[in-house]
Amino acid sequence: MTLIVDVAQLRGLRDELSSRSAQIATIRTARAVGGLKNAMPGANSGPMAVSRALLASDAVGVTSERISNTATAVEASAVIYEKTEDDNTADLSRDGRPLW
Amino acid sequence: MTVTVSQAKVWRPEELATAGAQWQANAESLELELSSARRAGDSSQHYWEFSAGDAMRSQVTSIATDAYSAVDSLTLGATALNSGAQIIRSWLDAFLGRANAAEGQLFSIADDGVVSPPPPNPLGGATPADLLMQMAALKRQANLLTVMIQADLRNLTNADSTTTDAISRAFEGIVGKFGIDQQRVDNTASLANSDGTSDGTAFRNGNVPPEMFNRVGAILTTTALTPEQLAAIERGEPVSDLPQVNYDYLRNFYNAAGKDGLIELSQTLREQELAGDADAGRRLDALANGILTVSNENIGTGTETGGFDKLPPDLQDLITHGGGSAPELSTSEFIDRNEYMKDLAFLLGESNPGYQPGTELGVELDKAASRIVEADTGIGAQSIVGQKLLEVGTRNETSTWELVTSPDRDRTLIPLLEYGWGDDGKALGGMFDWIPGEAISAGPEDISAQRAGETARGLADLLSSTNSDSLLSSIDSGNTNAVSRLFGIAGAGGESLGDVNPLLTQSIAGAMAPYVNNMAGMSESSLPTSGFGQMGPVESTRVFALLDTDPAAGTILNGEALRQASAYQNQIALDPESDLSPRRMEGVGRLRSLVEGGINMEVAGRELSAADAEQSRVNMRTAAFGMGQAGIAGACSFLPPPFGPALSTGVYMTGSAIVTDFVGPGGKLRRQISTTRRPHWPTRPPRLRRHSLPHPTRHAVGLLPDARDHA
Repeated sequence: MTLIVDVAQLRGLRDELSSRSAQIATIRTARAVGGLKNAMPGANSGPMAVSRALLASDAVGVTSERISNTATAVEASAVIYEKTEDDNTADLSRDGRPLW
Repeated sequence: MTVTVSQAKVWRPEELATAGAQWQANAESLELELSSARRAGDSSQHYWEFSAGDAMRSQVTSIATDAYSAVDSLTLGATALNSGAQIIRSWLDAFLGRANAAEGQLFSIADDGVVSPPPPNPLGGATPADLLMQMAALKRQANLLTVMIQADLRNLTNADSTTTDAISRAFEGIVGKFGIDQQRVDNTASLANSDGTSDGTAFRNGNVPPEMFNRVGAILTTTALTPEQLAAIERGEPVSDLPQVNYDYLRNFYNAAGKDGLIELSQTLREQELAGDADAGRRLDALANGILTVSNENIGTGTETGGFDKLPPDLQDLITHGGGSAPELSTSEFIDRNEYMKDLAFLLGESNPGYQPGTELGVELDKAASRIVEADTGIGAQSIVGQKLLEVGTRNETSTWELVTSPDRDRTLIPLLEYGWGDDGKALGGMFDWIPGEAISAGPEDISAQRAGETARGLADLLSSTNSDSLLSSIDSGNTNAVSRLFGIAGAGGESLGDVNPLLTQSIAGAMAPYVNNMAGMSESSLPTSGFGQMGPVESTRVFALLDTDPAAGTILNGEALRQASAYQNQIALDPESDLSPRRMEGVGRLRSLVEGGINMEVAGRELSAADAEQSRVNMRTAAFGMGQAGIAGACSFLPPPFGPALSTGVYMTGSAIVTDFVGPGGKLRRQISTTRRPHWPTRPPRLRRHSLPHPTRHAVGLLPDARDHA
């Protein structure tokens, strides 16, 4: 019989994505710019770096969240596949909304 | 604008390079993680076919593609910072060399780069003509230096400008993604270019121009915590990734503004909001959120954390001492402080529910609410102020735990419990609404469950205390019997806790419900709770009786006790020969005795006619039985109001329909509940004695002889 869905491997994928999400969440783009505001009085490059570090921080945070959400959906799929006799007919939805 | 001499002299362009190195490392880390995520997604095609697998892989690819733009931005930004640091350093070295040499020859340099010659040297027999020639030569040299130094300053300015443009261009790729719009770009730029101290000082001094209100308001919204950070706070986890620039601005702004500046800003924003400005409403929320952020010991930047002591000193003083009457205060000072407290309460009340005060601020807000309502000699005029303080203060569960387990417990809680709240005690009930959700311990390391148990126990001890060592309230100050005070609240026409504050009483009942076994004297080592310990029958009966003063609260607690009793009976029925059966039977007896004893004590305190008293008892037992049945059916358990009663309504009705199996014709509890498998009693069934106490404050000793023997 051809393997169509391997739930154990789905759980491994979930773990991997969760781990990547957690690692990305530790990236601190604004940490090193704290001193820039006062490092060069009258200059614009310091504040610009601070401003862009905050935007980069937004981007990193959103990326982490998106990957985490994907991991959650993978886990939800695994749960559904586990309870389904025929993977072909699995209803991959949660609260009426499709997971994918 | 060209950089000045004094500014250039203190420039440290190495900081740009440091940030550049950090961004480069950030970019590499992000790229590494994204590659791993993509590989993991791609490899799933070997074990996850179907369109769903394809959709997942497409989703991961899409996320990574977006995020690679952030990698590119960080890489380009790092290059811009590094090259900028080098160019600026080279121009800075040229400038400093020239300026230092000139100053070494006693030339003076103005901030705009204009160089003045030193006075001529009259020594060595110089004639006046020599001196004139010297002066002319020095003047020429100074003019030349002026040209060169001003050129240095322009070069520095240009290098800074080039670097600034390069940084800006580097991040153009992420604008429009990740929820970053132009407004966000502008607001972060405004934050980066602003100084919290000078902004705060302007608000403290007053007469702030409208554009400054807008700028500062926008900055405050920019410092909002992210959804992930708020979720971490909700889980009780520390947040250590607040950007330093955000934290610095908030702390410096609040401290410089002080309570006057903050109140003025909040009032202006509120007026703007009332006039229909939605942005003002968001900014007002952000102002309040920021206060809670700075106060929170669990929120920090990785190098420092918030705390009550990080708030402006005058605000700390107001929260710690304001609101109450004090002999040293004149009437005008008292009124003045009350006005401040009112303004502060309304400001904090604007904070979003996901934001929590720090532990110390939470405790102090609860205490302030207590002082305010204790001193409220009007007709509940301070209720709304106290409610708003409590709504915020009670968000922090650790604050509640600290308060309820501290020596200040009775002195703080009694005025709060006795006050006739305009919201029937809903806000104060928030102090205990978290307990049911935390009560069941996941193991010995479950600190939340331990604290929930300790908090519930502290509250139960207070509710059953008849002789406090200390003053409980300045109202009816001679009465140190908490039980009698709460059964007949002074100034409330003798009404009880449940009459005066029904929603609060229901919250307390919800908090006590997980501990009914503990209150029945059972050892906590055999229970899923922790921190509460065992409670004696006399004290437990007082708690049951007091909570019976509100019908819904009594139903919650009695229902849970009867549900537990019924569960024991079912276990006995299923396995009557078990070694545990005697202990389970004991539990049934104790739990039912608590219910009965509490009802009797409460009814006795109401001075009803015999017939009315009996009817009242029947009603209470019936309601409790219905709730117990609902709990058995799993429709509700440990849920605080309004969820418990609301969810259980359907099952409650079912339970009421078969209540005659449980409550006999005389309104007395039957000795056995009708179940599909009638329990077999291996030993004598528990005795259910009905005692009535002429006054609820009398000791209930003898009420539960069985339970007392085993406690």
